[in-house]
Amino acid sequence: MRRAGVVFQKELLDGIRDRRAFIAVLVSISIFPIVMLVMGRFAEGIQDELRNMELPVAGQENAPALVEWLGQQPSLELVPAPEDPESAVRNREVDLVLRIPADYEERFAEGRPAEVELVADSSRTAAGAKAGRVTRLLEGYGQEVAALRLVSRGISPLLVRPLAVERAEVFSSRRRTAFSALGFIPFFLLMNAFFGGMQIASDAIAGERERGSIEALLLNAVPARFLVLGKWAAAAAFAVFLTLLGIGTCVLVLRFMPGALNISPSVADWVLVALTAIPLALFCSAIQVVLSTYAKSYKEAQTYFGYVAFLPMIPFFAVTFNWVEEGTWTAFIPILGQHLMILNVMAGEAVAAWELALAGLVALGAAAALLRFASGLFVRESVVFVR
Amino acid sequence: MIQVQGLRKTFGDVIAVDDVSFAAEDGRITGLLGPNGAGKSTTLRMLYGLMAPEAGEVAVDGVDVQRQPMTAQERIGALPDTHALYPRLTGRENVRYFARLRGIPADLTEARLDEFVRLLEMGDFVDRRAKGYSHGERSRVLLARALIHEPRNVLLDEPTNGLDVMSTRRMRDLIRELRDRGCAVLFSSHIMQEVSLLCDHIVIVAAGRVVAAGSPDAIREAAGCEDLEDAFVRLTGPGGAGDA
Repeated sequence: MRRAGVVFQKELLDGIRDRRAFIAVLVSISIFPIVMLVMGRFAEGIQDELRNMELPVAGQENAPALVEWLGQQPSLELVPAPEDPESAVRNREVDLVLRIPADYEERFAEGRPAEVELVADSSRTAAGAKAGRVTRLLEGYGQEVAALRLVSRGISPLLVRPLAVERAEVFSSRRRTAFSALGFIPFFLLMNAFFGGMQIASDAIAGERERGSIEALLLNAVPARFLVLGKWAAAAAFAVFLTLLGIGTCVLVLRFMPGALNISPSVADWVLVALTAIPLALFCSAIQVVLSTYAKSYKEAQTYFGYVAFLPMIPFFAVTFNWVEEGTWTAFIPILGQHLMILNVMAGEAVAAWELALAGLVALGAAAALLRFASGLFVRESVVFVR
Repeated sequence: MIQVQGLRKTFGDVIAVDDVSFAAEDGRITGLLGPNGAGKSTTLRMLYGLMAPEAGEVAVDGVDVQRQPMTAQERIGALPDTHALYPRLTGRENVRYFARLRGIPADLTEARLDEFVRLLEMGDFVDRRAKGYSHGERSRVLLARALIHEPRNVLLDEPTNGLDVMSTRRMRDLIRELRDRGCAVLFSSHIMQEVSLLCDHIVIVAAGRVVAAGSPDAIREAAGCEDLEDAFVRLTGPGGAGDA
C-alpha cells in the first residue's frame, strides 16, 4: 500500500504539471455558469419583451371596440401595422401583427364569428410567447362579449359553463423546478465526476506506455496491483476534486445569479450531493483506468473515452423524457441512481440513508472489480509491448 | 550472478530467441553482442521478468525469475531499451520516484543521488525537467535511476546507443567500477568495438541463437580471425553459424 501511495503522489504531481489537466479544470468549472447565464439572459429577455410589448394592428378602424379594449390592457401598446404584415414578420422587422379584416364589424353585428388574423413566425421563441399572450387576450375578450350577449337575452352565462375544472397539483413547485430547470445540475456534476480523472488516467497509463517508460516502471519489484491502484487514486483524486469544484460552482451560481432559479438548497443538501457524487467519481475513474490500460496510446485512450462519454447523458435524457420509473432498483444502477438522488436532494426531498449507502457501495464494488481486471491486463505481455 | 538456461521465445511464426544459454558472473562484464533483431532485447526482457519464456529458466543469484519475479527484481538494476524518463519530472525526481518505489530511505537516496550527480557530471541539468534533455543527459539520469538501489546484477540494454564520445566514456568508467565492486554486469550492444573494449566475456547471438561465447581471445580463435570484428561478421553474417 505504501508503494501505491508513492505512485499516487508521483502521478498527482505529474498531472498538476500537465497543462492539459489544467484546461480540464477550467472547462469544468466554467461550463455550468456559462450555460446558466445564457439561459437566464434568454428567459429574462423574453419576460422583458412580454412586459413592454408592442402590438402592431392592421385595420384598427374596422373594430374600434376591440382596439379600445386592447388599448386598456396593461403593458401592451398598440402601434400602426407595417404596409405588408407577412413580409415584415418574415424579415423580422416585427414579431407579429394582428390584422382585423374589413368585414369584422358586419360579422360581429350578425353574431357570426368575426375573424381576426395573427401573423407570426412560430419558429421564434419570443414571437411565440407574444402570440400566446395576444391569443389569450383575444379569447378573454371573446368570452366577455359572449357573456354580455347571453345576459342581454336573459340567460345566465354560467349555463354555458357546465364544468369548472380545478387542478390540485401534487408535484411541488420546487420539485418541478428541480426536474426541469435544474435537471442539468446532476448532469453537470456527473460529467465532472466522469471526466475529471480522464486526463491523468490516459496520460499515466496509455501515455506512459506510449512513451516507453512503463518498461522501467515494471522492473521495480512492485506488484502491478499497487501501480494500478496508485494511478487510479491519482485520477480519482482529480475527479473528486473537480466534482467538489463543480458543486462549489453550483452553490455560487444558485446564490448569486440574479433571478436565475428560485431554489436554494441548504448546506446539508450539498453535503448529500457530494456524498452521492464522490463514489461515482471513483467508479468512473476506474472505467478510465481499464480503457487506458487497454488502449495502445494516449490518443486511442481519448477515443475510447469519447465512446463512453454518452453514459452520463443517458440518465439525463431518461429522466428528462420520463423513460424510467424511479424505484428501489434505480439505486443499483451507477450514474442513473446518482442522477436521481441528486435531483431529489435538489427538490428538497428526503434521500434514504440506505439508498445513499447502497448506491455508494455498488459504485465502489464495481470500481474494485474494474481495478482488479486492469491489474491483470496491466502486465500482460501483449499490453506492455504493443509498440 | 545471472544464469540463463535454454531460453526460447516466439512471436507467431517468428522465433525470436531459440535455446539461449549463458551466464553473467559476479565481478565480470558480460557482453551480449549481436546485430539488430538478433533477440537481445527479448532475451533481456525475459531476464528481468517482463516476458515469460516458452522454455528455459533464468536465475538471478539463484532466484528463479519465473517463480519469484519480485524477489529477482530486487536484485536487478536494469536499463530497458526504451530509454524513457518522465518528461514533466526533473532528473532528480525521476530517480527519487524509483528509489521510493523500492523503499530506499530518503537520506540514503539523496546521498547516492549526489554521488551520481558528481560521478556522471549531471549538476547542470539534473534539477531541470527531463522534457528538454539531450540524449546524453537522459542516458545519465537513466543510469543513475537503474543503479540507485545498488543492485548486485546490472542489465543494460544498448546503454551507449546514440551517445557522444564523452558520455560513452563516462558510461564505460561506471560500468568498470561496478565490476570492480563485484557486480555482475550484463550489457547488450550491436557495436563490436564497444564490447571488445569493455567485456571480459562475450556472448554473440544471431537470429535468436548463441553462435559463440567466451573471452575476446577465445572468440577470435574460434572464428579463425585475428580481428574481432572479422570474427563477428563471420559468425553472425550470411553463411555463418547464425544461419545454420
